[in-house]
Amino acid sequence: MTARVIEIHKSLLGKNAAQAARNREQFRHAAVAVVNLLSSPGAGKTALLERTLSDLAGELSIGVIVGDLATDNDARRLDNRNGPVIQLTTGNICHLEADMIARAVEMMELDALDLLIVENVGNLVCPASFDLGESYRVVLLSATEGEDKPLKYPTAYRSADVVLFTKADLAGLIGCDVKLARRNAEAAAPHAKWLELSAKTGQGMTAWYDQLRHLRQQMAAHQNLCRGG
Amino acid sequence: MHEAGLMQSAISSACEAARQVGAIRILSIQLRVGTEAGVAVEALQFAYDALVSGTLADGAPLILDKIDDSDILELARVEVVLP
Repeated sequence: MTARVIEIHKSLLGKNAAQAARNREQFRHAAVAVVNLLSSPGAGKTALLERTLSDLAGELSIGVIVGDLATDNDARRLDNRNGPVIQLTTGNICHLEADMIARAVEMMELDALDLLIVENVGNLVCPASFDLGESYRVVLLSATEGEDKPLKYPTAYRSADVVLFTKADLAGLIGCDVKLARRNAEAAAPHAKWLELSAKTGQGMTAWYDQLRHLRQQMAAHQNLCRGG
Repeated sequence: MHEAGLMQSAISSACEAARQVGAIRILSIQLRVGTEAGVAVEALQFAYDALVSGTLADGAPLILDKIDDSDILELARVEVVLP
């Protein structure tokens, strides 16, 4: 009997990374900008989506994929006149994976969309590790969660392109130090853009919509460039 | 807690590699885990202990090499016994 060492060096996220790359290519081809929304449970992802879909109705065609462990409550909450809403129930899986997105996208007419917003499973840990093929990652921090959330969950915040401070209307009432929250977010994600808003009062929503419009324009411009047009 | 799924995939890849060289047993499985990979090494170990029994790697230790400032997460090498 002899012992032998086999060198393997195989990425354990390789399958997801490959599918994410295929998704990204498909989104680019269809000129759809894709936003992956991450937060802990109850930070206001669905409320943000409700208001966004309602305010942008008629302007942008927006598809939505919502992920939860169970129930289709979120999909039922979202009355989307701008495009399809697809609910993914993951069972016990704590995050969305690229192949779940690929299957959901098959049920949509991608070419008809300007934007696709993916509401990930409420969880600040696992979803951060799984690329879905998105063009933009948005991580929420709500006023009610405590200013130090970005320091406690640095991996999720580090991957953010935008940090959205949600429930901003409550900050004063509950003594949340917004400046401190912002400093903590910037420590975890120095490159990320910081926006403060309230989906309930509408405060700060214009800057968020401008961000989405900008993203949409970027994707369209990129496609024109690729077509040589 | 996606560590269980990742570990399942690591164990099956390790067993597959061992079978390909005709090994009769796995002596150790070595993973490289970046500190930014978004996984907890304790959870990986827990999942390994739960999933390894009945496989070629039954009883083999799991070696976790932590890599600083990296998001790497890979099955690095497997030590096997050939007949």
